[in-house]
Amino acid sequence: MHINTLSILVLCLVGCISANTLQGTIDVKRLQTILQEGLKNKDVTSLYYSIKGLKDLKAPIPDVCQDIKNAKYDAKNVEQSFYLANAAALSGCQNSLTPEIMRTPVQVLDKKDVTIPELYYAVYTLKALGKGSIYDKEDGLKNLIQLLKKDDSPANYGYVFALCEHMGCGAWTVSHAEGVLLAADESDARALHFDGGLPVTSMLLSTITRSYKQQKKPSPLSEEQRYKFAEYVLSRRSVTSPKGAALLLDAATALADDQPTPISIAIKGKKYVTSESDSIEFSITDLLGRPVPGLKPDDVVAQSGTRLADDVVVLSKQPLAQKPNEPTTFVLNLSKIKAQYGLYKIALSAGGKTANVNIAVLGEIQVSSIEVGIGDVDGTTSPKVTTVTYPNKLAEKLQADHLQKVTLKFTVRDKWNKPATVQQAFVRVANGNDETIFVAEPDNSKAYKVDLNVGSLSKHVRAANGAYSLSVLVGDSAAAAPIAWQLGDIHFNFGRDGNALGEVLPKSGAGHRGPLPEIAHVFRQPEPRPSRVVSDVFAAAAAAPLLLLIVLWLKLGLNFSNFPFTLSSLLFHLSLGASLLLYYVLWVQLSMFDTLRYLLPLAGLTFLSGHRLLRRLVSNKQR
Amino acid sequence: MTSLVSVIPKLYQEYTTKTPKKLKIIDAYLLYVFLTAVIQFVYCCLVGTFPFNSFLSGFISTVSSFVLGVCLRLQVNPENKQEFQGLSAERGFADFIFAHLVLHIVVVNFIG
Amino acid sequence: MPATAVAKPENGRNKGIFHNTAGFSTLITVTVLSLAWLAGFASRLFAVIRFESIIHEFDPWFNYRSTAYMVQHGFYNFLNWFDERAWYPLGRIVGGTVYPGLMITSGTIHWILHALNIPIHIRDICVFLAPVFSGLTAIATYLLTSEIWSRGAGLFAACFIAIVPGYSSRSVAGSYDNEGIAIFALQFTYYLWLKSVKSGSIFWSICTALSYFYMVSAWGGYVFIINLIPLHVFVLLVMGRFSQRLFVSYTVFYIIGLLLSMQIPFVGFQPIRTSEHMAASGVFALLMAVGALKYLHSLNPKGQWKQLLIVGGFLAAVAVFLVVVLLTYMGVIAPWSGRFYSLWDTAYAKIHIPIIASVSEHQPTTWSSFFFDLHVLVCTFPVGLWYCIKNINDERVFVALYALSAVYFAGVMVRLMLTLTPVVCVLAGIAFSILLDLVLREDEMCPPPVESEESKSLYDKAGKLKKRPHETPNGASEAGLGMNVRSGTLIAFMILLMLFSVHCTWATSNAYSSPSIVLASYGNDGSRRILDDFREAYGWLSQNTAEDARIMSWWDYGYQIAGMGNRTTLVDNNTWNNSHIALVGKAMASNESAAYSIMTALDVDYVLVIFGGAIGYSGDDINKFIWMVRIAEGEHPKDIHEADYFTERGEYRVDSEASKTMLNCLMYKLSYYRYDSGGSPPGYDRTRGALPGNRGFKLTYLEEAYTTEHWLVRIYRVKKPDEFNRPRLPVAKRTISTTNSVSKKLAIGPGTTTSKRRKGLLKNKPTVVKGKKVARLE
Repeated sequence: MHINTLSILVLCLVGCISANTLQGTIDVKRLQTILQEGLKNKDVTSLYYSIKGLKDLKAPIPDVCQDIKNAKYDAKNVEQSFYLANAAALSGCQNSLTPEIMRTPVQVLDKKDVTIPELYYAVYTLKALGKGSIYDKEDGLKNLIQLLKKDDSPANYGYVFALCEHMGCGAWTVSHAEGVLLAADESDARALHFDGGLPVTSMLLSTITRSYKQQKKPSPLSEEQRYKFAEYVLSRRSVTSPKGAALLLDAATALADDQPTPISIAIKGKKYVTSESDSIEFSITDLLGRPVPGLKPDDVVAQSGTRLADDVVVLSKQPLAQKPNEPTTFVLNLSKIKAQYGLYKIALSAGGKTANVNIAVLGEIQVSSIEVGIGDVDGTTSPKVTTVTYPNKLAEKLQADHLQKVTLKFTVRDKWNKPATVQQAFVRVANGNDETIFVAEPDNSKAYKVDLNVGSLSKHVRAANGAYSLSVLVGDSAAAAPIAWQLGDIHFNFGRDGNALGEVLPKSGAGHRGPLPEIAHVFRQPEPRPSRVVSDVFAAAAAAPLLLLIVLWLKLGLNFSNFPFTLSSLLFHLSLGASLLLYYVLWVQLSMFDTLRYLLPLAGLTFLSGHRLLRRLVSNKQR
Repeated sequence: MTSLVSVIPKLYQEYTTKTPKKLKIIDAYLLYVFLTAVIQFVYCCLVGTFPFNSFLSGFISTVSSFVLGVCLRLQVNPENKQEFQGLSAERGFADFIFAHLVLHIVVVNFIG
Repeated sequence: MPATAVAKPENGRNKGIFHNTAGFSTLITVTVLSLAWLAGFASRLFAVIRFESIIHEFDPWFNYRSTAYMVQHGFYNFLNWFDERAWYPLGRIVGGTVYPGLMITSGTIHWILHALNIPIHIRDICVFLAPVFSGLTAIATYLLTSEIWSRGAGLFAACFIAIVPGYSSRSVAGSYDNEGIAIFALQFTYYLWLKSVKSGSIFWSICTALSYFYMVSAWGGYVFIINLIPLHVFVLLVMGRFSQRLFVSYTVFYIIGLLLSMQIPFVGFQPIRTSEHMAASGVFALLMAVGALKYLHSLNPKGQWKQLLIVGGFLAAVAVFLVVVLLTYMGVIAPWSGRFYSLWDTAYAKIHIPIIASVSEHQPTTWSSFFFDLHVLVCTFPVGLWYCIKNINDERVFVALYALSAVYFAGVMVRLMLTLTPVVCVLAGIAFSILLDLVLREDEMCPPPVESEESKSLYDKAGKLKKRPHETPNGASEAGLGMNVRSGTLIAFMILLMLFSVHCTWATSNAYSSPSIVLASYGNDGSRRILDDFREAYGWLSQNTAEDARIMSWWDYGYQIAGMGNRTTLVDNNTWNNSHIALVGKAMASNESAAYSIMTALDVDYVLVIFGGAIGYSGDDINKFIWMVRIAEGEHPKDIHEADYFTERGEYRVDSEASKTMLNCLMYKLSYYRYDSGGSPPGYDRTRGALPGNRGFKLTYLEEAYTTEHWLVRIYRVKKPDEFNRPRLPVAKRTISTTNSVSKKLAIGPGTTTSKRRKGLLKNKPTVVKGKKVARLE
């Protein structure tokens, strides 16, 4: 995927031509299809322009009389009348028109505040209907000049020039044309056009060239103007409407027919040389893609060729051969330089014009094998090296932890197996959609080496332990086939780095305004307690041995016969019982301090009475 | 193995004949405490020890009751007179009571 | 000390008139003990006399603060106390992370005195608690020694422990720390243990357990008891000295002690969960097994039971050991903690826990400090040990084990010298007693040695009778010394004892009586100056900063800031959270801007550093700094590297040859900012004897807030983000980026005319040069 983008980029770079020639032609065929499509449109405007364009191309025009007859148009609008009438005239269907069409142009001509476009449309409508000569020449020109004084836009000049063609005042046109041409706007210092865009430019160019031809005068266009107008026309070549196509064609024809015609030099086909194909084809044409008249094949010469990398001149004055049967195609043989790949600039001259063309000589690169070594960061142990040959994968899954580094070493070689340096040599470490690309740097012996320090790698891949696929990408703008080599998987273990404390810190407050979400304290959930039944059963079970105890004691013959009913013994048992009762109260409600306060006198009493009791027992026994 | 099997009834016989009644009473008490401890242990294995302090206080109180009972038995046993000089059976019993008082206040405090 | 000087001859006389009457000897005993108490109390008052009645050092300040809290709010509130002023922003649950024995003790005394209508401030109780308890320790030592040997030896031991520097170092007035009362509890527990082993009485066992409970509540060193007593039992078992008395005393002690120790919240369930306590339960189980086998044996005392007993005992021991190991592996029992490991492997802490190694008390002990702390006793106690082993019985096995283990631990850590001191006093007391016995007995020819033994046996309890026939000829054979030798020896030892008491007094007064809050310096003419910079700074903090201001300092000063300045601290001497400390260390070790981001993340308002360069105080932050770096490196190995702070030759210096990282770190800058004192040339650092390498710098993110009179404490305020001297931008050039999107598409309705459209921006708009105007038509 990456490689594709890279290659496109490279070719783009190569294909760019800089020179004082044109770099392309108008695609006449495409325009023609637009025009033919336009015929199907029942709109009078597109109908007219389609017919007009096809007429200019001398292409066959189907029978459109029925369409013209049925065409819906605004009879009050002189412009629509003009389109309809001229379409009919060009396709020879005047008979399909109704005489009503005459009314509006006639009214326009009689109008007081008529504008120049209206005049133009009216006059040419009438002309198309064969009533052209009713306008008085001298008088008319004066009126037009008056009107021009009110509004001297280039468009108006265009209409006036067109009217002059009809009225035969071509001389006036010739005398004013140069001034009008100077009024053209220049954009980006490379294209000229008139205010009003393509229609105005087209009309002016065509009327002026026609008038000059009629007057047998040399063209008023300077060479620079010619090329710049042609640039403008080229920049508009992507028109889609029949009107645009017709106008473009009109303007292009006007420029192309005006000698000396602007020359276009473009690479035809591929823009690079490989070891298999060692020639590049150029097409040298005029604006419309026709052969340049008067261009002898000998005039087409590659003046010089230099390598872009070091400005070494590799060829000079090498003539191009004309391809048989294709008068516009010239072939430059580059077998001399195909050995040394790189980018070349070729200055190509044709008919006194020179264009600089960048072409590429593509070589072959190869990576035969790669060494993958895994070793400690501090280099205390020698790394474990695995060698993989192209295009195999790693035989086993490698492991590396955060104290180690992975070293990749490889050499890029050209066709003759000599080490070469390339523009792009990367190592890609990817895990799903996460990828990190490292640049491989060549050393003195042109061996590429990448050290992947696993510990520092972690922050690039979000410290997620796991398997990462490793691939090597090698590419060059002068390499025929870039290499994308999947090396295989490697397992990275980042240790505890992922959750180091430093990352808890907010990465400075930028980008976050407003309070952070409140952190609610979560208490530890108490573990589920056993159900009531279970605990009751066990409470009973725990109490059960008590029964056993009583039974055993009874069996053994426990008795209270020895119980002395004295004050001390009673007190003793009472206070002992009271202490135990106190413990129960402690369990239920008291705090330890209160308990101790109550316990102290009780304990004293227990001690004294117990002491007395036991002493009596001892003395009884001894007696 | 056979000797062990033959020894056990003999042991039992020795016990029933030779042991004084007072000691048998204490032995019954010991058995009772021991069984209680066993039941608590079974409970902890089966159900869990969730209020850990409660479990511990219950279990340790039985263990220490057992230990104290054993100690009382040792001190009361007339055979051990030589070993515990200056400690009469009554003194032993008083100590036993005292120990229980201390023990149970702690247990109650710990049981929560 | 005059009192001890009096005590010694009396002690000697004591022997001479020993046989007269029991009442007389009791009188002498009481007199000697009270004099020892008095002497011990008096010698610990140097700090109060030299300085004032003030709490010392670091930890005592926290103890004092919690005691005051407990007295004010009651015990239960104290147990639930969550201290939000410490460990900001984490806070600390004080009640659950502290040994409350000390606070309870002084709280109880306070309560009793107030109940008796004696109005006394809690601070005075705290200051004088340790000296008072040293007297109790002396009595406990007396009891212990007389249990092991004789009352005469006990009196000697009591006198020794009262004044020995190794103990008074931790118990001078004002040193309000756990150890002060813990040594008493330790000695008393051991006394009661021996008593219970001797008598086999449940009562004494219960008393042992209660005393052990007090020890648990007072000091983490209780682990020493709970390992030493089982060790004693185990050794006795191995030696074949099992008795039913031993069974009674140990089982009762263990089970009650276990239950009691779990009542302390800080200890919690540790006694049944951690390896440190497992020896005790293992021995308990073993003892039960052996007892059961013995009982079966007694039922049928014939034939192969003897072998069965031995094999069964052995098997039980192995089984217990295996169970403990297995449980440890399964994770039921926590393995030994790092602090415990460092006792076995002295290098462990240095590698793994720099925070433990950073404390000077945790360094291995040097020989000189042995001698400094124990003086003549260190030479004489092996004699007592030898006699104990020679005339072995159950109790003497105990004291031998006690001595051996304590010597080992004291060798590992300076701090554990404290546990060695009591046993050294006991054994040295025994040694001196034997010696004087030998030397003085000849003076009264009429009472033969036997009688003296007999009179001794009045006080010794059961179990001694068997030994007498063996001892008597022993004493008689050595009695044949000449008169001159006797008196010579006597005089020599009297001089030794006098030297000892002189040394003790000197050491206590000079080395251990500095409160370290207030420093004293001596001028050239011998005059004494008091440097009160610490309190000056803490006073400034409490008066001039906001109530909730957060102060960042190295952890040593956390308790003092909280106690005296009453302000929130980030880290303090309770080093429970290593990573938090490491973060503070990282801030100190980073450059100013990196430190600032840490400080803003931690909400620090003020930074406090201790700088001793002006007065030559060596305990300042620059000298501790390398530990901050190490601790920070332990947690942040990517950002902090210890080697960066040394010169290329590995030296730690601050002058112009110091490394760049060192010269630019926050700690360095805060210490030497604007520093121009310290003699000639100005700015000379007297502690390190060097001229700082980076001077005259400015601080960007902090500003100096306060510096004390002798530059000892320096306080800086952390600036708020809007206070930096950032370059000022003109208003017009300030841009606020609002959103991230580059372009927007607006839906324009069909009716919108061009003129109404907003002016848009075209990317790659061509530059258009307008053509010339068409010439005017004439």
